[in-house]
Amino acid sequence: MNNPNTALQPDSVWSPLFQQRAFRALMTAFSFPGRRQPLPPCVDAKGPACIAAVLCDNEVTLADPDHLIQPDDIRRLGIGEASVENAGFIIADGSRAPSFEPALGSLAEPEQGATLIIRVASLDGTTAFPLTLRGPGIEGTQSLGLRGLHDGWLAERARWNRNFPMGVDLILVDDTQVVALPRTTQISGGGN
Amino acid sequence: MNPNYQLTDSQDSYGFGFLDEFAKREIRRVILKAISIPGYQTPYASREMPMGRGFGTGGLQLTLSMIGPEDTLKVIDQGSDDSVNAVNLRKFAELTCPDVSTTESTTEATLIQTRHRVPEIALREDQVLNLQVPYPDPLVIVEPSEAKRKIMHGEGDYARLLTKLYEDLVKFDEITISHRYPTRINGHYVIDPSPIPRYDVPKLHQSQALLLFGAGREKKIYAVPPYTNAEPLVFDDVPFRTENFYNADGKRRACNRCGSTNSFLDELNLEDGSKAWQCSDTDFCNRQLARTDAGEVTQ
Repeated sequence: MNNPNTALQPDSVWSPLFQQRAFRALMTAFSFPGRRQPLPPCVDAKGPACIAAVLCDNEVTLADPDHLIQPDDIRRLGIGEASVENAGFIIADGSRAPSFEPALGSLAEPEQGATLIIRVASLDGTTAFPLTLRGPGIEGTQSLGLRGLHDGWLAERARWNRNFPMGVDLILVDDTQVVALPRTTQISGGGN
Repeated sequence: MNPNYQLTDSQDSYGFGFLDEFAKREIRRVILKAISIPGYQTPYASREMPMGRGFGTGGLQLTLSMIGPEDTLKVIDQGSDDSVNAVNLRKFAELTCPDVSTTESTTEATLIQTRHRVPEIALREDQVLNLQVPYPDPLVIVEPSEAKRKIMHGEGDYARLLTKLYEDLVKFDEITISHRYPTRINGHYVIDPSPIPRYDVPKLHQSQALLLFGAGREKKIYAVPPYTNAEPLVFDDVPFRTENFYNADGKRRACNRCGSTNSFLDELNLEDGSKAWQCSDTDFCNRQLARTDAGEVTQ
Protein backbone atom coordinates (compact mmCIF):
# COMPACT_ATOMS: atom_id res chain seq x y z
CA MET A 1 0.00 0.00 0.00
CA ASN A 2 1.38 3.35 -0.93
CA ASN A 3 1.96 5.52 2.05
CA PRO A 4 0.76 9.01 1.20
CA ASN A 5 3.71 10.45 3.07
CA THR A 6 6.21 8.93 0.69
CA ALA A 7 4.40 9.17 -2.65
CA LEU A 8 5.59 12.72 -3.18
CA GLN A 9 7.02 15.41 -0.98
CA PRO A 10 4.15 16.06 1.46
CA ASP A 11 4.63 19.78 1.10
CA SER A 12 4.19 19.74 -2.67
CA VAL A 13 0.86 21.02 -3.91
CA TRP A 14 0.66 17.95 -6.19
CA SER A 15 1.02 15.37 -3.40
CA PRO A 16 -2.10 13.38 -2.45
CA LEU A 17 -1.54 14.22 1.20
CA PHE A 18 -1.52 17.97 0.58
CA GLN A 19 -4.58 17.67 -1.61
CA GLN A 20 -6.48 15.71 1.02
CA ARG A 21 -5.65 18.26 3.72
CA ALA A 22 -6.44 21.20 1.49
CA PHE A 23 -9.75 19.61 0.49
CA ARG A 24 -10.71 19.23 4.14
CA ALA A 25 -9.93 22.92 4.64
CA LEU A 26 -12.17 23.69 1.66
CA MET A 27 -14.93 21.38 2.86
CA THR A 28 -14.88 23.06 6.27
CA ALA A 29 -14.87 26.46 4.58
CA PHE A 30 -17.97 25.55 2.55
CA SER A 31 -19.67 24.06 5.62
CA PHE A 32 -19.13 27.25 7.62
CA PRO A 33 -19.29 30.14 5.11
CA GLY A 34 -17.29 33.18 6.11
CA ARG A 35 -14.99 31.37 8.52
CA ARG A 36 -11.34 31.60 7.55
CA GLN A 37 -9.59 28.26 7.06
CA PRO A 38 -5.81 28.00 6.84
CA LEU A 39 -4.50 26.14 3.81
CA PRO A 40 -1.95 23.45 4.67
CA PRO A 41 1.65 24.55 4.06
CA CYS A 42 3.18 23.86 0.68
CA VAL A 43 6.37 24.92 -1.05
CA ASP A 44 5.54 25.15 -4.72
CA ALA A 45 2.28 27.13 -4.96
CA LYS A 46 0.14 29.56 -3.08
CA GLY A 47 -3.38 30.91 -3.11
CA PRO A 48 -5.40 30.25 -6.28
CA ALA A 49 -2.93 27.70 -7.65
CA CYS A 50 -3.41 25.52 -4.53
CA ILE A 51 -7.18 25.53 -4.97
CA ALA A 52 -6.90 24.73 -8.69
CA ALA A 53 -4.54 21.83 -7.97
CA VAL A 54 -7.00 20.36 -5.46
CA LEU A 55 -10.15 20.69 -7.57
CA CYS A 56 -9.21 20.81 -11.26
CA ASP A 57 -8.05 18.18 -13.72
CA ASN A 58 -8.75 17.24 -17.31
CA GLU A 59 -12.43 16.54 -16.57
CA VAL A 60 -13.25 20.19 -15.90
CA THR A 61 -12.77 23.48 -17.65
CA LEU A 62 -10.96 26.41 -16.12
CA ALA A 63 -10.63 29.99 -17.26
CA ASP A 64 -7.85 32.21 -15.97
CA PRO A 65 -8.49 35.59 -17.61
CA ASP A 66 -6.13 37.46 -15.26
CA HIS A 67 -3.27 34.93 -15.71
CA LEU A 68 -2.88 34.18 -12.00
CA ILE A 69 -1.55 30.66 -12.61
CA GLN A 70 1.88 29.97 -14.04
CA PRO A 71 1.83 28.43 -17.56
CA ASP A 72 3.76 25.42 -16.20
CA ASP A 73 1.06 24.79 -13.60
CA ILE A 74 -1.66 25.13 -16.22
CA ARG A 75 0.04 22.40 -18.26
CA ARG A 76 0.43 20.25 -15.17
CA LEU A 77 -3.26 20.58 -14.33
CA GLY A 78 -4.12 19.30 -17.79
CA ILE A 79 -7.34 21.27 -17.67
CA GLY A 80 -9.65 21.82 -20.58
CA GLU A 81 -9.62 25.41 -21.75
CA ALA A 82 -12.85 27.32 -22.01
CA SER A 83 -14.09 30.85 -22.34
CA VAL A 84 -15.00 32.58 -19.07
CA GLU A 85 -18.67 32.29 -19.96
CA ASN A 86 -18.55 28.49 -20.21
CA ALA A 87 -15.88 27.48 -17.71
CA GLY A 88 -16.69 25.34 -14.68
CA PHE A 89 -13.95 27.08 -12.70
CA ILE A 90 -12.88 30.70 -13.04
CA ILE A 91 -9.83 32.19 -11.40
CA ALA A 92 -9.95 35.95 -11.07
CA ASP A 93 -8.24 38.89 -9.43
CA GLY A 94 -10.54 40.34 -6.79
CA SER A 95 -9.09 43.86 -6.98
CA ARG A 96 -10.77 44.45 -10.35
CA ALA A 97 -14.50 44.44 -10.96
CA PRO A 98 -15.74 41.35 -12.80
CA SER A 99 -16.34 41.89 -16.49
CA PHE A 100 -17.84 38.55 -17.47
CA GLU A 101 -20.98 36.48 -17.10
CA PRO A 102 -20.21 33.06 -15.57
CA ALA A 103 -22.26 29.93 -16.13
CA LEU A 104 -25.14 29.82 -13.64
CA GLY A 105 -26.38 26.29 -14.31
CA SER A 106 -30.00 25.47 -15.02
CA LEU A 107 -33.05 24.78 -12.90
CA ALA A 108 -32.61 21.03 -13.39
CA GLU A 109 -28.81 21.10 -13.13
CA PRO A 110 -27.77 23.92 -10.80
CA GLU A 111 -24.42 22.25 -10.10
CA GLN A 112 -23.33 23.46 -13.56
CA GLY A 113 -23.00 26.95 -12.08
CA ALA A 114 -19.37 28.05 -12.01
CA THR A 115 -17.03 28.00 -9.04
CA LEU A 116 -15.18 31.31 -8.83
CA ILE A 117 -11.76 31.29 -7.21
CA ILE A 118 -11.05 34.91 -6.35
CA ARG A 119 -7.67 36.12 -5.14
CA VAL A 120 -7.94 38.90 -2.56
CA ALA A 121 -5.20 40.87 -0.84
CA SER A 122 -5.93 39.65 2.65
CA LEU A 123 -8.50 37.67 4.62
CA ASP A 124 -7.02 38.52 8.01
CA GLY A 125 -10.11 40.39 9.13
CA THR A 126 -8.71 43.90 9.39
CA THR A 127 -11.30 46.14 7.86
CA ALA A 128 -13.43 48.87 9.34
CA PHE A 129 -16.62 47.63 7.69
CA PRO A 130 -16.85 43.86 7.86
CA LEU A 131 -19.46 41.97 5.89
CA THR A 132 -22.31 40.30 7.74
CA LEU A 133 -23.26 36.85 6.49
CA ARG A 134 -26.38 34.76 7.03
CA GLY A 135 -27.55 31.43 5.68
CA PRO A 136 -26.94 27.68 5.88
CA GLY A 137 -23.76 26.83 7.79
CA ILE A 138 -23.98 29.98 9.89
CA GLU A 139 -25.39 30.04 13.40
CA GLY A 140 -27.08 33.45 13.50
CA THR A 141 -24.64 35.74 11.73
CA GLN A 142 -20.99 35.54 10.74
CA SER A 143 -18.72 38.54 10.34
CA LEU A 144 -16.13 38.58 7.55
CA GLY A 145 -13.41 41.18 7.20
CA LEU A 146 -11.29 41.20 4.08
CA ARG A 147 -9.23 43.54 1.94
CA GLY A 148 -8.75 43.66 -1.79
CA LEU A 149 -12.21 42.70 -3.03
CA HIS A 150 -13.72 45.18 -5.47
CA ASP A 151 -17.29 46.19 -4.52
CA GLY A 152 -18.43 45.09 -7.98
CA TRP A 153 -17.98 41.44 -7.01
CA LEU A 154 -20.62 41.49 -4.29
CA ALA A 155 -23.09 43.36 -6.48
CA GLU A 156 -22.56 40.96 -9.37
CA ARG A 157 -22.67 37.94 -7.06
CA ALA A 158 -26.05 39.07 -5.74
CA ARG A 159 -27.31 39.39 -9.32
CA TRP A 160 -25.90 36.01 -10.40
CA ASN A 161 -27.41 34.28 -7.35
CA ARG A 162 -30.83 35.93 -7.43
CA ASN A 163 -32.60 32.82 -8.76
CA PHE A 164 -31.83 29.96 -6.39
CA PRO A 165 -30.93 27.15 -7.09
CA MET A 166 -29.00 28.66 -10.01
CA GLY A 167 -25.92 30.66 -9.17
CA VAL A 168 -22.17 30.71 -8.56
CA ASP A 169 -20.09 29.69 -5.57
CA LEU A 170 -17.16 31.83 -4.49
CA ILE A 171 -13.87 30.75 -2.98
CA LEU A 172 -11.94 33.75 -1.68
CA VAL A 173 -8.26 33.06 -1.20
CA ASP A 174 -5.20 34.99 -0.13
CA ASP A 175 -1.73 33.43 0.08
CA THR A 176 -2.46 31.19 3.05
CA GLN A 177 -6.15 31.24 3.90
CA VAL A 178 -9.45 30.50 2.26
CA VAL A 179 -13.07 31.57 2.79
CA ALA A 180 -16.03 30.10 0.92
CA LEU A 181 -19.22 31.93 0.00
CA PRO A 182 -21.65 29.34 -1.40
CA ARG A 183 -24.66 30.63 -3.33
CA THR A 184 -26.93 30.28 -0.27
CA THR A 185 -25.02 32.85 1.81
CA GLN A 186 -26.70 36.25 2.14
CA ILE A 187 -24.29 39.15 2.47
CA SER A 188 -24.98 42.59 3.91
CA GLY A 189 -22.84 45.47 5.13
CA GLY A 190 -19.30 46.13 3.97
CA GLY A 191 -17.85 49.02 2.02
CA ASN A 192 -14.19 50.02 2.20
CA MET B 1 -12.24 -10.67 6.32
CA ASN B 2 -9.22 -12.60 7.58
CA PRO B 3 -7.24 -10.32 9.92
CA ASN B 4 -4.00 -11.76 8.56
CA TYR B 5 -5.00 -11.12 4.98
CA GLN B 6 -2.33 -9.33 2.97
CA LEU B 7 -2.83 -7.81 -0.43
CA THR B 8 -0.89 -9.59 -3.13
CA ASP B 9 2.06 -7.75 -4.64
CA SER B 10 0.14 -6.91 -7.78
CA GLN B 11 -2.51 -5.12 -5.70
CA ASP B 12 -0.06 -3.49 -3.36
CA SER B 13 0.18 -0.43 -5.55
CA TYR B 14 -3.30 0.86 -4.70
CA GLY B 15 -3.11 4.42 -3.48
CA PHE B 16 -4.11 5.60 -0.04
CA GLY B 17 -7.86 5.19 0.33
CA PHE B 18 -8.22 2.74 -2.60
CA LEU B 19 -9.70 5.34 -4.97
CA ASP B 20 -7.36 6.92 -7.51
CA GLU B 21 -6.68 10.64 -7.21
CA PHE B 22 -8.91 11.52 -10.18
CA ALA B 23 -11.87 9.72 -8.59
CA LYS B 24 -11.25 11.47 -5.28
CA ARG B 25 -10.97 14.85 -6.98
CA GLU B 26 -14.28 14.37 -8.75
CA ILE B 27 -16.06 13.34 -5.56
CA ARG B 28 -14.47 16.31 -3.76
CA ARG B 29 -15.77 18.73 -6.39
CA VAL B 30 -19.22 17.20 -6.11
CA ILE B 31 -19.19 17.42 -2.30
CA LEU B 32 -18.49 21.16 -2.47
CA LYS B 33 -21.36 21.67 -4.94
CA ALA B 34 -23.65 19.53 -2.78
CA ILE B 35 -22.89 21.69 0.26
CA SER B 36 -23.45 24.84 -1.80
CA ILE B 37 -26.92 23.67 -2.91
CA PRO B 38 -28.30 22.09 0.29
CA GLY B 39 -30.41 19.01 -0.42
CA TYR B 40 -29.74 18.92 -4.17
CA GLN B 41 -28.87 15.45 -5.46
CA THR B 42 -25.61 16.20 -7.23
CA PRO B 43 -24.75 13.55 -9.83
CA TYR B 44 -21.31 11.98 -9.81
CA ALA B 45 -19.50 9.07 -11.46
CA SER B 46 -19.83 6.43 -8.77
CA ARG B 47 -16.83 4.09 -9.01
CA GLU B 48 -16.83 0.33 -8.91
CA MET B 49 -15.83 -0.72 -5.41
CA PRO B 50 -14.69 -4.17 -4.35
CA MET B 51 -18.14 -4.85 -2.88
CA GLY B 52 -21.63 -4.94 -4.27
CA ARG B 53 -23.55 -1.76 -4.90
CA GLY B 54 -26.10 -1.47 -2.14
CA PHE B 55 -23.56 -2.39 0.51
CA GLY B 56 -22.64 1.19 1.28
CA THR B 57 -20.44 2.08 -1.67
CA GLY B 58 -21.81 5.63 -1.79
CA GLY B 59 -20.98 6.35 1.83
CA LEU B 60 -17.65 4.58 1.45
CA GLN B 61 -16.64 6.68 -1.55
CA LEU B 62 -17.43 9.83 0.45
CA THR B 63 -15.33 8.57 3.34
CA LEU B 64 -12.38 7.45 1.20
CA SER B 65 -12.27 10.69 -0.77
CA MET B 66 -11.92 12.84 2.36
CA ILE B 67 -10.09 10.64 4.87
CA GLY B 68 -6.51 11.42 5.83
CA PRO B 69 -3.91 10.02 8.23
CA GLU B 70 -5.05 12.42 10.98
CA ASP B 71 -8.61 11.09 10.97
CA THR B 72 -10.35 8.79 13.39
CA LEU B 73 -13.06 6.77 11.69
CA LYS B 74 -16.16 5.20 13.17
CA VAL B 75 -18.42 2.97 11.07
CA ILE B 76 -21.87 1.97 12.25
CA ASP B 77 -24.67 -0.11 10.81
CA GLN B 78 -28.11 0.44 12.41
CA GLY B 79 -26.33 2.06 15.35
CA SER B 80 -24.06 -0.90 15.93
CA ASP B 81 -20.29 -1.00 15.44
CA ASP B 82 -20.30 -4.78 15.37
CA SER B 83 -22.75 -5.76 12.65
CA VAL B 84 -21.54 -7.25 9.40
CA ASN B 85 -21.73 -4.18 7.17
CA ALA B 86 -19.96 -1.95 9.69
CA VAL B 87 -17.21 -4.46 10.47
CA ASN B 88 -16.41 -5.09 6.83
CA LEU B 89 -16.40 -1.44 5.77
CA ARG B 90 -14.23 -0.56 8.77
CA LYS B 91 -11.78 -3.34 7.93
CA PHE B 92 -11.65 -2.18 4.33
CA ALA B 93 -10.78 1.33 5.50
CA GLU B 94 -8.11 -0.07 7.83
CA LEU B 95 -6.66 -2.11 4.97
CA THR B 96 -6.54 0.70 2.44
CA CYS B 97 -5.84 3.74 4.66
CA PRO B 98 -2.63 3.14 6.60
CA ASP B 99 -2.20 5.32 9.72
CA VAL B 100 -5.93 6.04 10.04
CA SER B 101 -7.30 5.23 13.50
CA THR B 102 -10.66 3.59 13.93
CA THR B 103 -12.85 3.84 16.98
CA GLU B 104 -16.23 2.79 18.33
CA SER B 105 -16.62 5.99 20.32
CA THR B 106 -18.89 8.63 18.84
CA THR B 107 -17.08 11.43 20.63
CA GLU B 108 -13.57 10.40 19.55
CA ALA B 109 -14.42 10.03 15.85
CA THR B 110 -13.73 12.79 13.32
CA LEU B 111 -15.46 10.91 10.50
CA ILE B 112 -18.49 8.70 11.02
CA GLN B 113 -19.86 6.53 8.27
CA THR B 114 -23.30 5.23 9.05
CA ARG B 115 -26.02 3.01 7.70
CA HIS B 116 -29.57 3.90 8.74
CA ARG B 117 -28.97 5.72 12.04
CA VAL B 118 -27.75 9.07 13.31
CA PRO B 119 -25.79 8.60 16.57
CA GLU B 120 -27.67 9.41 19.79
CA ILE B 121 -24.91 11.69 21.05
CA ALA B 122 -25.17 15.07 19.32
CA LEU B 123 -22.37 15.60 16.80
CA ARG B 124 -19.93 18.52 16.92
CA GLU B 125 -18.72 21.01 14.34
CA ASP B 126 -15.44 19.14 13.86
CA GLN B 127 -17.21 15.90 12.91
CA VAL B 128 -18.61 14.76 9.57
CA LEU B 129 -21.38 12.18 9.17
CA ASN B 130 -21.44 10.18 5.91
CA LEU B 131 -24.73 8.38 5.41
CA GLN B 132 -25.13 5.41 3.07
CA VAL B 133 -28.16 5.95 0.87
CA PRO B 134 -30.01 3.26 -1.11
CA TYR B 135 -32.70 5.47 -2.71
CA PRO B 136 -31.87 9.17 -2.93
CA ASP B 137 -34.98 10.59 -4.58
CA PRO B 138 -38.16 11.04 -2.50
CA LEU B 139 -40.14 11.89 -5.66
CA VAL B 140 -39.59 8.50 -7.26
CA ILE B 141 -42.84 7.16 -5.76
CA VAL B 142 -44.88 9.82 -7.57
CA GLU B 143 -42.92 10.47 -10.79
CA PRO B 144 -41.04 7.81 -12.77
CA SER B 145 -39.14 10.16 -15.11
CA GLU B 146 -35.90 11.50 -13.67
CA ALA B 147 -35.90 14.42 -16.12
CA LYS B 148 -39.28 15.51 -14.79
CA ARG B 149 -38.24 14.91 -11.18
CA LYS B 150 -35.23 17.19 -11.65
CA ILE B 151 -37.50 19.99 -12.83
CA MET B 152 -39.90 19.37 -9.94
CA HIS B 153 -36.99 19.54 -7.47
CA GLY B 154 -35.67 22.71 -9.07
CA GLU B 155 -39.06 24.38 -8.81
CA GLY B 156 -39.56 23.11 -5.26
CA ASP B 157 -42.76 21.45 -6.51
CA TYR B 158 -43.69 18.76 -3.99
CA ALA B 159 -47.45 18.91 -4.42
CA ARG B 160 -47.68 15.28 -5.54
CA LEU B 161 -45.62 14.11 -2.59
CA LEU B 162 -47.91 16.00 -0.23
CA THR B 163 -50.87 14.39 -1.97
CA LYS B 164 -49.36 10.99 -1.22
CA LEU B 165 -49.06 11.93 2.45
CA TYR B 166 -52.64 13.23 2.42
CA GLU B 167 -53.93 9.98 0.92
CA ASP B 168 -52.22 8.15 3.78
CA LEU B 169 -54.05 10.32 6.29
CA VAL B 170 -57.36 9.69 4.58
CA LYS B 171 -56.86 5.94 4.49
CA PHE B 172 -55.03 5.27 7.73
CA ASP B 173 -55.31 8.46 9.86
CA GLU B 174 -51.51 8.40 9.94
CA ILE B 175 -48.66 9.07 7.53
CA THR B 176 -47.40 5.54 7.01
CA ILE B 177 -43.74 6.30 6.38
CA SER B 178 -41.65 4.66 9.09
CA HIS B 179 -38.21 5.53 7.77
CA ARG B 180 -36.81 7.59 4.85
CA TYR B 181 -39.17 10.40 5.86
CA PRO B 182 -39.13 13.18 3.21
CA THR B 183 -37.42 16.20 4.72
CA ARG B 184 -37.20 19.72 3.33
CA ILE B 185 -33.75 21.28 3.50
CA ASN B 186 -33.31 25.05 3.83
CA GLY B 187 -36.88 25.59 2.63
CA HIS B 188 -36.27 24.28 -0.89
CA TYR B 189 -35.16 20.76 -1.81
CA VAL B 190 -36.85 17.75 -0.25
CA ILE B 191 -34.45 14.88 0.40
CA ASP B 192 -34.75 11.23 1.23
CA PRO B 193 -32.68 11.27 4.42
CA SER B 194 -31.71 7.58 3.88
CA PRO B 195 -33.53 4.89 5.89
CA ILE B 196 -33.06 6.56 9.25
CA PRO B 197 -36.07 6.16 11.56
CA ARG B 198 -38.37 9.12 12.12
CA TYR B 199 -36.73 9.38 15.53
CA ASP B 200 -33.54 10.64 13.86
CA VAL B 201 -35.10 13.18 11.50
CA PRO B 202 -35.11 16.05 14.06
CA LYS B 203 -31.35 15.50 14.51
CA LEU B 204 -30.79 16.74 10.95
CA HIS B 205 -32.26 20.13 11.86
CA GLN B 206 -29.61 22.74 12.74
CA SER B 207 -27.02 19.99 13.25
CA GLN B 208 -23.59 21.22 14.28
CA ALA B 209 -21.89 18.68 12.03
CA LEU B 210 -21.86 18.47 8.24
CA LEU B 211 -24.12 15.65 7.04
CA LEU B 212 -23.29 14.07 3.68
CA PHE B 213 -25.39 11.49 1.85
CA GLY B 214 -23.84 9.16 -0.71
CA ALA B 215 -25.87 6.92 -3.02
CA GLY B 216 -23.39 4.70 -4.87
CA ARG B 217 -25.80 2.72 -7.01
CA GLU B 218 -27.89 5.79 -7.90
CA LYS B 219 -24.75 7.95 -8.35
CA LYS B 220 -25.86 10.91 -6.25
CA ILE B 221 -24.33 12.93 -3.43
CA TYR B 222 -26.26 15.46 -1.36
CA ALA B 223 -25.65 17.37 1.81
CA VAL B 224 -27.25 19.00 4.80
CA PRO B 225 -24.77 21.68 5.88
CA PRO B 226 -24.39 22.55 9.57
CA TYR B 227 -26.89 25.01 11.05
CA THR B 228 -29.40 24.40 8.26
CA ASN B 229 -33.14 23.95 8.57
CA ALA B 230 -34.35 20.40 7.96
CA GLU B 231 -38.11 20.12 8.28
CA PRO B 232 -40.04 16.89 7.78
CA LEU B 233 -42.81 17.31 5.22
CA VAL B 234 -46.06 17.64 7.19
CA PHE B 235 -49.35 19.50 7.23
CA ASP B 236 -50.04 22.48 9.48
CA ASP B 237 -52.73 20.60 11.43
CA VAL B 238 -50.94 17.22 11.60
CA PRO B 239 -47.71 17.57 13.53
CA PHE B 240 -44.74 15.30 12.84
CA ARG B 241 -44.55 12.33 15.20
CA THR B 242 -41.58 10.16 16.06
CA GLU B 243 -41.51 6.64 17.47
CA ASN B 244 -42.54 6.84 21.13
CA PHE B 245 -41.87 3.25 22.35
CA TYR B 246 -44.87 3.26 24.65
CA ASN B 247 -46.06 -0.08 25.97
CA ALA B 248 -49.74 -1.04 26.28
CA ASP B 249 -50.01 1.00 29.49
CA GLY B 250 -48.71 4.12 27.79
CA LYS B 251 -45.38 3.94 29.61
CA ARG B 252 -42.10 4.53 27.74
CA ARG B 253 -40.12 1.32 27.40
CA ALA B 254 -36.57 1.28 28.74
CA CYS B 255 -33.52 -0.40 27.25
CA ASN B 256 -33.23 -3.96 28.53
CA ARG B 257 -29.49 -3.58 28.92
CA CYS B 258 -28.73 -0.06 30.14
CA GLY B 259 -32.15 1.10 31.29
CA SER B 260 -32.11 4.22 29.15
CA THR B 261 -35.50 5.76 28.33
CA ASN B 262 -34.23 8.41 25.93
CA SER B 263 -32.78 6.43 23.04
CA PHE B 264 -34.04 4.66 19.93
CA LEU B 265 -34.85 1.04 20.79
CA ASP B 266 -34.61 -2.13 18.72
CA GLU B 267 -37.28 -4.77 19.26
CA LEU B 268 -35.75 -8.19 19.88
CA ASN B 269 -37.55 -11.50 19.66
CA LEU B 270 -36.29 -13.75 22.44
CA GLU B 271 -36.07 -17.53 22.29
CA ASP B 272 -39.11 -18.04 24.52
CA GLY B 273 -41.27 -15.99 22.19
CA SER B 274 -41.30 -12.86 24.32
CA LYS B 275 -39.94 -9.52 23.22
CA ALA B 276 -37.27 -7.24 24.61
CA TRP B 277 -36.15 -3.72 23.74
CA GLN B 278 -32.57 -2.56 23.57
CA CYS B 279 -30.71 0.59 22.47
CA SER B 280 -29.92 0.55 18.76
CA ASP B 281 -26.84 2.75 19.30
CA THR B 282 -24.34 0.39 20.96
CA ASP B 283 -21.84 3.11 21.85
CA PHE B 284 -24.56 5.10 23.62
CA CYS B 285 -25.76 1.94 25.41
CA ASN B 286 -22.24 1.09 26.59
CA ARG B 287 -21.78 4.61 27.91
CA GLN B 288 -25.05 4.45 29.85
CA LEU B 289 -24.05 1.08 31.23
CA ALA B 290 -20.63 2.36 32.30
CA ARG B 291 -22.29 5.28 34.04
CA THR B 292 -24.70 2.99 35.86
CA ASP B 293 -21.81 0.76 36.89
CA ALA B 294 -19.98 3.80 38.20
CA GLY B 295 -22.89 4.36 40.54
CA GLU B 296 -24.49 7.30 38.80
CA VAL B 297 -28.20 7.49 38.29
CA THR B 298 -29.34 7.11 34.70
CA GLN B 299 -31.83 9.46 33.01
